[in-house]
Parts: sequence; structure tokens; C-alpha cells
Amino acid sequence: MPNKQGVRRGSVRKWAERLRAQFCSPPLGPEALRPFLLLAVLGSLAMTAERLSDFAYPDYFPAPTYNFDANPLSGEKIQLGRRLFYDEILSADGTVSCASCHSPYNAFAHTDHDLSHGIGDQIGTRNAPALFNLAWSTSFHRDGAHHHLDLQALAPISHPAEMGSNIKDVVARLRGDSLYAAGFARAWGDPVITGERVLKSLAQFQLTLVSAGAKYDRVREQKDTFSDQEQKGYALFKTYCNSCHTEPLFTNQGFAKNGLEVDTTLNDFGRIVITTLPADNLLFKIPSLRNLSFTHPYMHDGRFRKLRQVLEHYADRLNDPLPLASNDQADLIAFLLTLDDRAFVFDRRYAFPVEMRSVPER
Amino acid sequence: MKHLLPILCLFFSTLSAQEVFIDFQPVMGGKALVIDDTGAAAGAEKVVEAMRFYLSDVALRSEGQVVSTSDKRHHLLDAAQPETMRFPLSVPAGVAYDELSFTLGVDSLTAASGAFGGDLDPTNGMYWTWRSGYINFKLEGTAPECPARKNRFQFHVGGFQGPFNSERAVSLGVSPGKTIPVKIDLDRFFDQINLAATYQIMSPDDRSATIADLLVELFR
Ligand code: HEC
Ligand code: HEC
Repeated sequence: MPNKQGVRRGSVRKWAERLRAQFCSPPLGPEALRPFLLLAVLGSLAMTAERLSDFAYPDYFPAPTYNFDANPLSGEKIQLGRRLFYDEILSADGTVSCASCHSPYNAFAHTDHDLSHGIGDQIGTRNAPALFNLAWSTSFHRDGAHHHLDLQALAPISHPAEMGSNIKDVVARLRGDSLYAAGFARAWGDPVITGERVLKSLAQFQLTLVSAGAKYDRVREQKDTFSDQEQKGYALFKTYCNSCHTEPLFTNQGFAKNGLEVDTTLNDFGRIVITTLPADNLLFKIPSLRNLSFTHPYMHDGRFRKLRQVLEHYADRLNDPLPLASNDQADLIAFLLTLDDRAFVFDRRYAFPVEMRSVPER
Repeated sequence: MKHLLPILCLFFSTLSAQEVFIDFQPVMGGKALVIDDTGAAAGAEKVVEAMRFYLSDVALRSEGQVVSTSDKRHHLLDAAQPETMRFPLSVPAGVAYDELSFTLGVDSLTAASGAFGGDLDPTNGMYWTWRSGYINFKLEGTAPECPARKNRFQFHVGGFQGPFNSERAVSLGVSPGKTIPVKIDLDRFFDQINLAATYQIMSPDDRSATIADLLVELFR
């Protein structure tokens, strides 16, 4: 059972153990120091609990795969990362931020465009995916080109049609901005700005984007119940979809071919580009199905605008069509809509940082 | 006793140690390599504009046992910055060694682990951005026989996953001295690589894996 904050108890326990190991067995600590040490431990525990509430998840979620030991969360680092995420200073001409393509109100996807839209009105080749529950992801991008959240950000920063810059220039621009010196000092202990710190701060903010507050989750926590139609849809889901879009994250983190024909204007063959293995031809990352109402259009190239079209695709595709009559499709959609997490989408902690509004024009 | 030796050595090293410099010396055309990064168009001669590479876990060994390791786990060497091509290892006084060993490239465990600072900071321009992975070895320049635009060749050998992992273990026999010179024989590289056919390697695949094998042979 989750505790009050929804933090997994096990994780708190692990942190506590680590802290105890760190503080309680100092080499040759004199007896007199004991009470102070105890205070220190209690103090850090309180802080840890607060920090963990930035990253809380229900007990029916698996353990995250991100290694927090290598980049321990802190409130100041998360806030710095949030600022960087919303700041156009990251792009070559100061017009595009991460949020330009990953908007909070689209569950950090981008609904206006089927393909991404970067500096100088350039159009990319893929649909910007939604960003949430990234602490459980084992690969990033539609083809899994990136294996670690920390380093993923180098891709949009450097892509000529996205932000058109590079991490070296980003660091130089941030060094020229006195407000950031203070932000880095608060977060990292000194005002030195490095590539590593920029990337880890960005990762910290993105790690806090946990979506676990949908009706589905309330039902799992026995605080709500499915309607008959949603229940029917859930049964169909478990039969036909769950092997790839595995609950509770609604992805098994793998790659699959779901029967889409190649769009010959893009010729995107997916995973094979990275692995060069013929078996990976046309395999794409299996996306989560949470927040679909906010993340349209769908698929790697944004070819479907409506969920109805997605379901028709699964029922009508040439290879292995699923036996889903139109009422089954309607039931499935009813279930999929229980995965919308409005609390996540409208969470003020993830929104544009208001204090940035008062920043003078650069 | 065999296991105790390195521990004892490390212990004594703090008492009386001696610095041994490992000195990497790239050679081309039989002479010390001169980096020419002026960007001048290719002339009749082959020109190297950039040569940068990572080394991990540099160690001196005696009969296979490590007797000294570098303070820094990873080194970025840049032929255009001579001070990076030479660094000290501290060896306990009186301890002999007969082998220098290192990994050419960033070891794959580190490469799989996230962002790092210092020599590994991505601002050093040795990290791929279109996919994840360090560039373990970068060699760029111009040569008249190279059919690419402006006669440029670019070898970016990297990648740490699956069959195309490009990290390579290197082991060299050495004899003790104040400086241990290690030649990097680029003539051998250009003997083996036909620049008229192979001039651009920028992703991990079987071609880059073959070049990674060849790179090992350059260190002498
Ligand atoms: C021009 C639009 C654009 C901008 C700007 C942009 N992204 Fe993206 N983002 C995309 C697209 C498109 C993809 C999918 C790329 C692919 O699959 O090749 C993506 C993928 C991602 C992913 C991987 C998600 C997953 O589950 O696979 C993350 C994380 C991400 N972006 C974070 C960021 C951050 C952080 C920034 C700012 C530094 C940023 N993005 C800027 C368009 C953009
Ligand atoms: C064999 C694995 C597999 C199965 C089974 C499967 N899918 Fe998918 N699904 C995928 C892959 C892979 C994609 C992404 C394809 C792309 O990006 O081109 C996807 C994409 C989607 C999307 C678009 C999500 C987005 O954000 O773009 C929806 C919606 C979807 N699937 C719903 C379903 C439903 C409903 C079922 C069951 C009827 C189902 N899927 C069964 C693999 C699968």
C-alpha cells in the first residue's frame, strides 16, 4: 500500500538504509558525536522524503530503471532543469525550447504537428512523442537511438532542424547569463556550468514527470470503478493489446511492427537504422497509451489524428487483422480514455515556471 | 603472495613513488605528426586535421599483475594539444613492470551509464548526438585520392552496443624508464585503408568494427 504521499515505502526504506550506512558508521567516530549524527540522519531522512515526493509512484508500478544513485534528485536541480526545459536559449536562434515540441498541455507531446517543427520553421521527420514515466524507459526515440535519458537531450540540441545548436555553445550561452550562474550555484553547489550539469538537470526535471493519476489508477487503488463499457474494453485490451502496451505503464519498453505501411515520402524504417539488423526492419518503439486524448496525432509519423483511425488500422490491417467489430472498437476506446491523466497534464509543478516571466529580455 | 604484491605496492607507492610518463607519439610519413587545422583545401599531400581518442584504465603491469594505474580512469588525448598526449603514472620505487595496458575507447560500462564531466563531458565534441555513444577514436583530414567533397576523410569510430562495440584492449611490452614512448603508426593505418574507397565512417557497423581492430595495431 502506498503511504500518504504515494511514495513507494520500499524506496524510502532503501534510501534510509543508504543514509544510515553513510552516516552511522564513521571511521572511529567518538561516542560524543552520536547525538549529532543521529540528528543529521533524521534531518537527511526528512529531506529525502520531501525529495522523493517529487518522484512518487504507486506500488503497482515496477521499480524504475533510471539509476538515481548517479544523479540523485534535488529540488533545486529539478527547478533548474525545468527552467532549461522551457528556455529558448538552448536553440541556436533563441526561438525554440524543449517545450516548443513537448508541450505540458499535450502531456509533453505536440498536437499541432504530425512531424516536429524546429528552428526556422523547419519540419523534421518524426512526430514528437509524449514525455512521462521516463524513469522506466530503457531506450529513447522511435528507433531507440538513445539508451540514456541524460544523453538524449544532445539530440534535439544538435539537430539542425530542431534546435540547431550544440552542447558546447549552449554551455557558452548559459555562462553568459548571470541568472543561470545563480541557478547552477543553488543546484550544484558552485556556479560552474558544464555539459554534464546541464544534461543531468534536464534529466531530473523530466524524471519527475510521472503520470499515475488516471481513472485507471484510481480503479487500481479501489477508489473508483469502471463503467460496463470500460470494463468490456479492458477485457479486450488484455486480450489484444497488453502484450505490447503492457500495464501499468502501457508499454513493455520494446520495439514492434504494428502493421503500418511505410510512408514513401519519409521512408522511415525504424529500429533497423540503429542496429542494421534485417529483423529490425520497420520496428518502432512501443509507445505508452496513457494520455492519448492529449497526445494526438498518433504513430511515429503522426499519420492518425483520431483514436478511431488507430483502432480501424488494427482491425483492417493486411497482416494479422484483429477481430474487433465496431462496437468492440468503441469499448476499447472507452477503456483507453480511462488512461487520460488530467491531474498530470494540468500539474502546476510541470508548467512553464512563472518566475521566468519576470526575466528581462535577453 | 601473488595477490598481496599489488596491494603492498600500492601501499609503498604513497611512501616513495616515482613518476613515469606515458608519451603517445603519432607518426605519419615516418615523422612526428603535425596537425594542420587551418582548413586549407587539400593539396598534393595528405593532411591530418584532427586526431582525438579516448583511453580507459591505463595501467602498468608486472607479469600480468597491475602495479600502477592512472589517477584518472578516462583520458581524452588530442594530437593538437601535446600536453594531453603525455601523462604520468606513479610507480612504487623499486617495482619493475614489463607491460602497458589500456582500453582504446571509453569502456562500454561507462558509455552505458549517463552523463559525465571532465574528459567525458559531451562539450568535448566526442559524443554522438544522432544516437548515443562516445566517439572512441576520431581521425579527420584531407588527401588528394579521397573522392569526398573537399577531399576530406572522416573516421569516427565508436559505439559500445551489441556486435559493433568498438572498445579494444591494448597491451604493449615495455621496459622501465622515466618515459615510456608509445608510437601511433598512422602510416600503417593509411597502408591498410584505401582512402579512394573508404573515407567516411561515422556509425557503428561492421566497417567501423574492422577499423577498431586495425587501430589496435597502430600502437607500438
Ligand atoms: C523540434 C521539435 C523538438 C524539440 C525542440 C525537442 N524535441 Fe524532444 N523529440 C522530438 C521528436 C521528433 C522526438 C522523437 C525523435 C525520434 O524518434 O527520432 C523527440 C524525442 C524526445 C525524447 C524521447 C522520448 C521517448 O520516449 O522516446 C525525449 C526524452 C525528448 N525528446 C526530450 C527533449 C528535450 C529535453 C528537449 C530540449 C533539450 C527536446 N526534446 C527538444 C522533437 C523535439
Ligand atoms: C505487436 C505489438 C503491439 C500490439 C499487440 C498492439 N500495438 Fe499499438 N502500437 C505498437 C507499436 C510498435 C506502436 C507505434 C508504431 C509507430 O510509432 O509507428 C503502436 C502504437 C499505438 C498507438 C499510437 C500511440 C501514439 O501515441 O502514437 C495506439 C493508440 C495503439 N498502438 C493502440 C493499440 C491498441 C488499442 C492495441 C490492441 C487492440 C494495440 N495497440 C496493440 C505495437 C503494438
